[in-house]
Amino acid sequence: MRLSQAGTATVIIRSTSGRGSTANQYDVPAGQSILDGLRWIGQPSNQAWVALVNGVTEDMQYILQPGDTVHLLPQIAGGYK
Amino acid sequence: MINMENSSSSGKHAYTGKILHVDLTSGETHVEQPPEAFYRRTIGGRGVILHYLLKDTRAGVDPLSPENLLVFAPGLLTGTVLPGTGRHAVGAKSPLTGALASSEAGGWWGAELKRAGFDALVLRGRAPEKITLWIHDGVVEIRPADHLWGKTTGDTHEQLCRELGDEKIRTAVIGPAGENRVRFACVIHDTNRAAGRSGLGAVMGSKNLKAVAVRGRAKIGLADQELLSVVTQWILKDYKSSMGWAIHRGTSGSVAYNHNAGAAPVHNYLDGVFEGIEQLDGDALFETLVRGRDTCAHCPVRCKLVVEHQGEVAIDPRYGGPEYETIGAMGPLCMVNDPVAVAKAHELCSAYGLDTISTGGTIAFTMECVEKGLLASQGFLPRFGDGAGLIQAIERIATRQGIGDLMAEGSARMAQTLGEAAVEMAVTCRGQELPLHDPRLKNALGMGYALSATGADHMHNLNDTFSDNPGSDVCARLREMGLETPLPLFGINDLKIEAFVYETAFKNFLDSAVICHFYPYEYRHMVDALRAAGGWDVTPAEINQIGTRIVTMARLYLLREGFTVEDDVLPARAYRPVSNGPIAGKAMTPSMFEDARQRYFARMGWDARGVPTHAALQKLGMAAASPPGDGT
Repeated sequence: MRLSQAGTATVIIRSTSGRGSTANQYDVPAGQSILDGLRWIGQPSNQAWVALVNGVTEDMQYILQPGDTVHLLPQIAGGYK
Repeated sequence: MINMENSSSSGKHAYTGKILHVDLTSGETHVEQPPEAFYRRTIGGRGVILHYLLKDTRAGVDPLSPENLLVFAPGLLTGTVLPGTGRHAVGAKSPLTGALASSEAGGWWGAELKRAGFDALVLRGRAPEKITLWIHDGVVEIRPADHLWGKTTGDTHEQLCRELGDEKIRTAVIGPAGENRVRFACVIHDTNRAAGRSGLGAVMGSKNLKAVAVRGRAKIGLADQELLSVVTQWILKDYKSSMGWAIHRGTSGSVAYNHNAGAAPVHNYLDGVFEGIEQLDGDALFETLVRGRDTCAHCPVRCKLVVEHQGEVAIDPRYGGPEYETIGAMGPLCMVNDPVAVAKAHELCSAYGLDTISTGGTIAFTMECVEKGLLASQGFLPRFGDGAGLIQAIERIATRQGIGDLMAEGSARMAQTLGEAAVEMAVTCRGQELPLHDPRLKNALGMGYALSATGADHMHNLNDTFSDNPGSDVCARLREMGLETPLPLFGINDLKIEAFVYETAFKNFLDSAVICHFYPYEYRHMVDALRAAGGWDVTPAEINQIGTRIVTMARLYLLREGFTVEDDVLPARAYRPVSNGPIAGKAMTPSMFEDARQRYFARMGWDARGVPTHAALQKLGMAAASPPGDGT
């Protein structure tokens, strides 16, 4: 996969589990989709999120731009695989 | 008293083979013993409800007349040890929409009815006096209920336990709202489990029926106990991870997330941001109000909250606690950010027997009418942001006092009374208030609101914010059916139509089986579960066909009751974007929605007016059904 060298986006993954709520922050190369960014981080794709990009709800296929701040908000009604 | 002998299950399958019919007018009772094919075809729940509504009611029946049916239907899997099966369905023709009412409740009541000997209870007529039904181990008693009339659901449940001398009875009860035929009154089971939507409590009230108490000791049979254990072990080995959200905070943990993503409508859909939302989120509620957790039969998750509060606004823990839908409806929709007021609103809805979604939606609508000066001279009026007014409005709706009498008709009928300016403010489909998942973010879900035979409903639907994530249970099921995943979040492309068709069929199957939607079961698990419960060699394709048949039966019922494609529409607010927040500027246009609706009709094999063609019916083994009009 070819990634933009122009910079990174900040991805903040919020998570809710039986153990509680957490928020982990990552710098992710821009130029890839949010879903690909999750794979780049090594986050197993076994949850459902809504992506909030710079305060606006976007598709998980949104291509990360340098300087973006992405909050991944868990969708918590239904199960995860 | 009627003694139905030999009421226990054969032990060879999970259905008892008996359906109890009670004519409340005459008090006559009989037991139907359907053939095995009936169970394989309908499964239970919504399938059984639609079977009787189509067969035993005439078109155009007044929902509050003795001619309407009221059906309590557990599912094939209800009462088994499979986690998530502690549920049953309740159905009738809806007094709110004039369409199908079919709502599911968790808890123990459904399992207890099966243990008492019956797969379903079909009620018709109207009792000449106020009564309760007492069904225990195959025996049916009709008991006077004058002394219970006017009582809350919790007090009624406790009194019945005392009178019957058994703390372990299970009850389905209406509160004052059902007695007063509030069009969105619900049926409450065991004090805190609602068959919430579409006015089933008003139907029960119209039959002079205060409660149905059940108790049984028969064992639910199985065709293959070992196979059901395999499915049970599959979910139990991983549920702490796959359903960790539910264990942690229940659905209350989604309040802030949904608001921050734009899923929770604010200010009757006029705003995109609500100050103070974090005060209503699970994290805050658990610090201030939550005193315990509760669960349903054979469910280790315990997603239910129990809240308690003492002080000026005391909150009774008997009624459990608010879920996401209730918090969304009473909180941001009405602009109330006081968690005590929201929790009290939940308690009162359970005590009086009101659907929290339609109650919150109707109050928000009324608040906007007040804000716009359309209700200037009506005495007490609720206003946005006023928690005390929210509570007072609920009391007035349940008792039909003052403005509450008009509000008890629901926001769509109120709008018709108040005139053209109010119609745009009523956010309903088929006259039922929208759940708290904004169709401007969730476009396919919005299409489902418009198409659902029960009016706006988020349950038997496709949730866009799950289908765009490959790790969701929704995507796992779609891949089982050969679809590509994930799907785009916004819009409704052909792939999403395909996904909608499959997922609504699956959810209708779940509502017939009857299984909690929170469990991440896939087709392969349901195949094993049906084999274990019924002894049938089913396939994923058959499960899909069962669900599709139920969707089609519901469509035929709608058409029979006079609904047309002109009624398959979204309210004006669904097309009006907000100017702030995470979904600012976003909404479908009417032409986008109509195009998607027509592609859905075509995919289902229905004509351009949404009438199933004979070919489509034949494919489902429904050739004998006759659709109104000439769907060819």
